[in-house]
Amino acid sequence: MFHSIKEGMSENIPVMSHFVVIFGCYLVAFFLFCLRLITGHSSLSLIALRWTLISFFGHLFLLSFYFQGKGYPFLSNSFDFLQVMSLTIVLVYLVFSHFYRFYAAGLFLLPLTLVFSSMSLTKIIASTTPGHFFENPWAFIHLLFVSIGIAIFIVSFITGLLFIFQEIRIKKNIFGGFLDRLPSLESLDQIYYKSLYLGFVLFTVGIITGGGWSKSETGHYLQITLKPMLALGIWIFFAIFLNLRKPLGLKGARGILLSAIGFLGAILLASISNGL
Amino acid sequence: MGYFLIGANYKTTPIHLREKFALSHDDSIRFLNILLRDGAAEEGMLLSTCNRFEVYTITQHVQEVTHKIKNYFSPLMSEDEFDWNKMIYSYQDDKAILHAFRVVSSLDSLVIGENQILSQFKQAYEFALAHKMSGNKLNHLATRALYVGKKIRTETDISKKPVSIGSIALELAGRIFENLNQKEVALIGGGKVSELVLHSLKNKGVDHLTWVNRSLNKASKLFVDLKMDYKTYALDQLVSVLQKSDLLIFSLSVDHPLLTYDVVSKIMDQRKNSPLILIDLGIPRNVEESVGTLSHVYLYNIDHLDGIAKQNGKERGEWAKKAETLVSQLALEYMQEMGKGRDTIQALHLKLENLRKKEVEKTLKKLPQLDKETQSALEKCTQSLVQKILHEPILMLKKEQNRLEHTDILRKFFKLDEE
Repeated sequence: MFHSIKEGMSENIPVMSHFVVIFGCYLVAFFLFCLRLITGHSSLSLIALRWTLISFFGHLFLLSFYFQGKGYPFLSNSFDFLQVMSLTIVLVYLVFSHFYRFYAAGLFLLPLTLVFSSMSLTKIIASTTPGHFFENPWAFIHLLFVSIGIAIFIVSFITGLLFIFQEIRIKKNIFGGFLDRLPSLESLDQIYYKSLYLGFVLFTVGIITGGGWSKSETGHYLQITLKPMLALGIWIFFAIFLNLRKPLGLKGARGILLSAIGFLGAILLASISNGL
Repeated sequence: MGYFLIGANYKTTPIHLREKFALSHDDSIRFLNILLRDGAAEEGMLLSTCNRFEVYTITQHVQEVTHKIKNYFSPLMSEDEFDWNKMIYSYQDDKAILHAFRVVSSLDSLVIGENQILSQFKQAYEFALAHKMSGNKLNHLATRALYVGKKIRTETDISKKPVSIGSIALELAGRIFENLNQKEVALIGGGKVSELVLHSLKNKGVDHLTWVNRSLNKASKLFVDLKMDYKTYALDQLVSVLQKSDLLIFSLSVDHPLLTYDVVSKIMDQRKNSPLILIDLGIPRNVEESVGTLSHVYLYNIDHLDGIAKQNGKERGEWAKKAETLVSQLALEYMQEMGKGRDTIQALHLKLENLRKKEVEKTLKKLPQLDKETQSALEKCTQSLVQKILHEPILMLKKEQNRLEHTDILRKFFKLDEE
């Protein structure tokens, strides 16, 4: 199998078939969560969570061999970028599910993984070997931090939406069903801000390394073009938001809705970076 | 003269209308007196809880009693609100007995299997007894209903799993806070409901809280028994408690809401929007409904608890089915006893009256010289004798205890079933 993956680096189609299997595994996990929602059998939650964990390790394993056997720098194309993002979303979901009662969020986060995974699969054929630009050591570090940072921002955003959704249910006194398995509002708020802070730290490192990359390639830390300006804008927005959140009492839904501006910027940045 | 029950509960009447049925101590006496006045009802008992308002009566004049109740409450509600047929239910005789048994067994409660209704029914009965509103018939029904309530709880698991208004309230709080023992909890009020909540809090691991009440000396023993640390505040310090607490549970009896929109809105600004849960278990409500619209404020009242009650009800469904069967059997037994007792008294009267008449006729035939005055005196004397003979057995039959057994003995003794 490993041999075929390595071979597949030069021929995209066999590699794609392996990633399609991983996509299928995540799809099964998502269906298991859906089945749990429909049937109400609580044991299905655990099965779905375990299946997601197996799929994640399969994905990590496949991506590691892909990374090893790649004939050009990793993360230099949309396929790599989107694969890392989908893997990060699952990782963050599994980590939070370990510490909080967060497994029901799989119903909302797995579709995102599926979307990024399927988008990457459509990009793989178009991927070409990049030029020397990506061979710069700053490039890999920058792209790795940015892709993981944006993925964590997205998890944070979805958690924020779940908070708002759950708060509406609580305020309207809606009970019952799988969604009652979501953690308390307090925990959702914690997950939201923890992931936001983590995403911000990684994004900050991404911006700094991006400056280093730019300096070594162009002689300037910052170029007045759309991508770096947008990244800087998002960074400033989150820096202000995270600092003023507590003093201004920007808690719960109000804070989440305000921070949505930053998330939309991050999505836009990810889209521009990947030429979507 | 039979049982007649009229009432409104959480199923038929929303909370804002049920509040209008909540009567103070003095109003309850006045209300029952109105029902008993002019002989409309012979006996009366009033069961008034957060979830139900029920009037138990012994009457021949069902229409008149209904009319009096309607007249009493209609001025308290607007014309739009006062939809009598929708809000009110009524039962007579056998159905009234079955309903009373179901209520005390908590099969008709918001939380099936809860224990509070048993003591509430007992209090209602004692209140009627103390004010001489209930007599023989209602006393029979009430004591039997309490017996049925206890029997259901011991013979089924309906109340084994602790589910009470208190624990449901804390389940709601758990949707907002992960660990209640790390939060500041305040209990406002010192009644029975507060005690229940206190036990539930203790079970959830809460070992310290703030207690606010009108009188602060009553609950110390309970806190000591539960090994809970507590700080006490007078009711006029409620706002400062509100500022520091994360969860407040209200169960005070008040005329006007303690917390208004404006007060809580100001406090939320000072709290920097830190989440606040208000659980209002009081009737009339202790917290203005509009407070729940404030962001970061989560307000629940008795009706909101209905949602969780339904979930818990599912789990108790099996036991409830068994309890329903048992309650029906016990109600049937009671009805048969009542019927058999009534029949026995009638049969006894008939038998002795026939005997008396025969003996008087025989005597008069043997003594034709007796004048009319003496004959009449003989009639009265024998009638009085029969009444005196029957007095003790009838009293025995009217007593609740061992009625069925006594009925059988008397029927055998007087050979009532042989004729």
